[in-house]
Amino acid sequence: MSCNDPKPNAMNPRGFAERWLDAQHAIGGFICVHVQDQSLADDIVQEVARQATANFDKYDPNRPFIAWLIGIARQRIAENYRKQNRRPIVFSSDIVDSITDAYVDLQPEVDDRLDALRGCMDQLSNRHRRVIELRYARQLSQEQIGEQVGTNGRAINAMLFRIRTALRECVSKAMEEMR
Amino acid sequence: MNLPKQTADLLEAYFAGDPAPEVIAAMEAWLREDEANARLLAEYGLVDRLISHEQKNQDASAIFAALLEAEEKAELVVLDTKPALMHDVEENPDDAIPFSKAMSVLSYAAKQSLYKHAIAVTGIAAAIVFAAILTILFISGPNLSGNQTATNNTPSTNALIPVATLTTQRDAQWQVTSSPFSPSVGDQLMLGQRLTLIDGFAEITTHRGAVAVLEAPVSIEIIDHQTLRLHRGKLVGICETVSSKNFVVRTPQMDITDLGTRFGIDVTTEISSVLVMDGAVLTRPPAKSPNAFEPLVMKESDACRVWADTNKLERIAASEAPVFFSAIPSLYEQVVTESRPVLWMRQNEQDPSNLLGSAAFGVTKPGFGSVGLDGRGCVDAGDVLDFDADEPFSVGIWIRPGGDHNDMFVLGRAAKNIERGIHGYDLYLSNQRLRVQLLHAFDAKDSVNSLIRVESEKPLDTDRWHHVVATYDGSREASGVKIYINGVPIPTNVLDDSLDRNNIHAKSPFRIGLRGFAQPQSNIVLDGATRDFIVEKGSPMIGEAGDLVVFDRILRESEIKSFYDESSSFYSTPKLLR
Repeated sequence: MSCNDPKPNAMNPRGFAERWLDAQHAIGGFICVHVQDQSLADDIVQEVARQATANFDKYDPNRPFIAWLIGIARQRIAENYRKQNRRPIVFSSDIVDSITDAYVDLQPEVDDRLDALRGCMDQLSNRHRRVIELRYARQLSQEQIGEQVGTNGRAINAMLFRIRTALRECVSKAMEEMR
Repeated sequence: MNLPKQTADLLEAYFAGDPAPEVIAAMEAWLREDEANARLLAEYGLVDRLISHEQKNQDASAIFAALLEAEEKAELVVLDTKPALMHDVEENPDDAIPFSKAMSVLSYAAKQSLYKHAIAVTGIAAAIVFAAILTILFISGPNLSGNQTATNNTPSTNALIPVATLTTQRDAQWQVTSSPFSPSVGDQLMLGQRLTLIDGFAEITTHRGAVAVLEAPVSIEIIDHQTLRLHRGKLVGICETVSSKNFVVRTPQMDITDLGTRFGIDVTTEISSVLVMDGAVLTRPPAKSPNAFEPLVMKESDACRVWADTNKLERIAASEAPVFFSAIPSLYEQVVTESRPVLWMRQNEQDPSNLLGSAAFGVTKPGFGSVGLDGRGCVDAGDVLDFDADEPFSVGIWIRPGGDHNDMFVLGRAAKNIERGIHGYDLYLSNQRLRVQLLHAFDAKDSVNSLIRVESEKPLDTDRWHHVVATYDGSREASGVKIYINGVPIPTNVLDDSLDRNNIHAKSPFRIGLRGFAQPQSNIVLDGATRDFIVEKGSPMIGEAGDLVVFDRILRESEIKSFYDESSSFYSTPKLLR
């Protein structure tokens, strides 16, 4: 974090808003690693934003903001699993710390990665674009997508993973070229 | 850099949702293996989130664009509130609006301060006048009376004039009281023909390009190439081409004229209802009661109904209008658009040495004919259907394999080269057993075999016709392949299941009878010229083949049964009697 960052406090909502805008995709990414249901992930992002706003005065500016948000997100994820009576995805805390560190490193690159992703998505086939739209914009289940594109949920899961893999690799390549 | 297979499998299982404890344990172990793995996982999560962000932005942009467009249309519709322009020209040809009167709409536009639409209005006015003239000419033409009130289920003998095509049907059951009737996709529909759909969906396209989607139960009559009469049931009209504008649907209580739009009509014994989804329509009383209500121009989201007992028009909220299942874009796509094949072929009646086919507008009439394959020739569809292993598809064809041949390439897109050996996908007969093959590399000197091969347990009789269908779900696994013979799924054996994440693309045409690497000595070319390929001996098909259909999705068992049923009588009839 920059030494010039203004000291945040509850009376300085602009400080929070700016930080949140910088960190929102990274915190969303952390949540997506633990929650594959897109609408639930959206809900948790909102809960994290609410809780972080209410407790912004407790944030220690010597820590990376994203790390603080991830701490809140972990609680919200666990709580949501509890509410739904589902088995939580639990990694050891040292593993979670290393994932958190990865997001701290990734956060400054998020805007560039978003630009790169747009170019990469243009290269997708129409069919893959449609599956992506049904999954992320319409938030359909894999089975529902399968019904729409003439296959089954298992094949859609495999296809979605391949698309994500291709996009991740494409974005990473673009980032390397940028450096 | 590609992920190692084990890692890819683990991540795929993890991101499938609700990972099992052993998957989480394996993930933890993998994350411990290398510090870089946490970064990799974080990148996956971030990509997921960014895709979601992008998609929602696009969704919002699309809604915004649709709202803007709707606002523009709403402004334009103001001009159309002059119903005199569309006065009953069909019933009173002498009342045709002179061009000068149509042009006066322009001054009306000016008064409404809508100069920016002046050019559009000129176009609309000219189109309307042109349509009116055409309509008058059509109505006054010999034997083409718009007053066709055929109550029979078949058109009258003096009006066997094709004016529309059955372009799609899904789970459709048709009823005809006097005679058996089972139209197939691709059938021409005649002037005056009456159709009753008991179940399922059907799409009719008039020769002017207007589309009517029928939702069973529904009964219609084809009045002419631009007019349908809806006796009962639900119809969604879609007029997206210039020539299809002014498409008319007549109901007992009102006539609806399209002004370039999408709309739904529901007719019951008591009531006729209209809902406009896009654009605008003109609603008028029917000719029998011309003064029942004032003509009304309805725009997007407007709805109205007319009661049979009073004949009075009542405007209603869109939420009170009937629900038109096929008007919901995603469902329309699902029930109608996707039910079309991506490729079909049938024999040309006039020129049996050539085949008809289309990759663009897939309609097929089963049972039309077959082509003989002597081992030297093939049917060549060109550079089409380049499916990869993660794309589902279905292929159906009638075949009559000749005897005494152990290995025969039936159809597919496959090639052979030094690096990958045989690769692509195909249907293949080996010792009379039907194989479905998806090959990245097979029998190559320098490559490990990577392929899926699934084979029917029982052999097919030679010198007899069989309807064979293969479906593949895009899962890259042998379990995703199914084989149907004569409409029924059959037991299969898996010979290979090692495709993994490799592709099955092949630089080859899609062919029936000869692999892409085999040089045909005689070619039946579809939509193109004869092509040159490496001369190499393949395992040609010897026998006959007919009625190919290819879909870019897995067909349901009911659809496969229906394809078989539609064409089995043709293939079970001795050739000389056909």
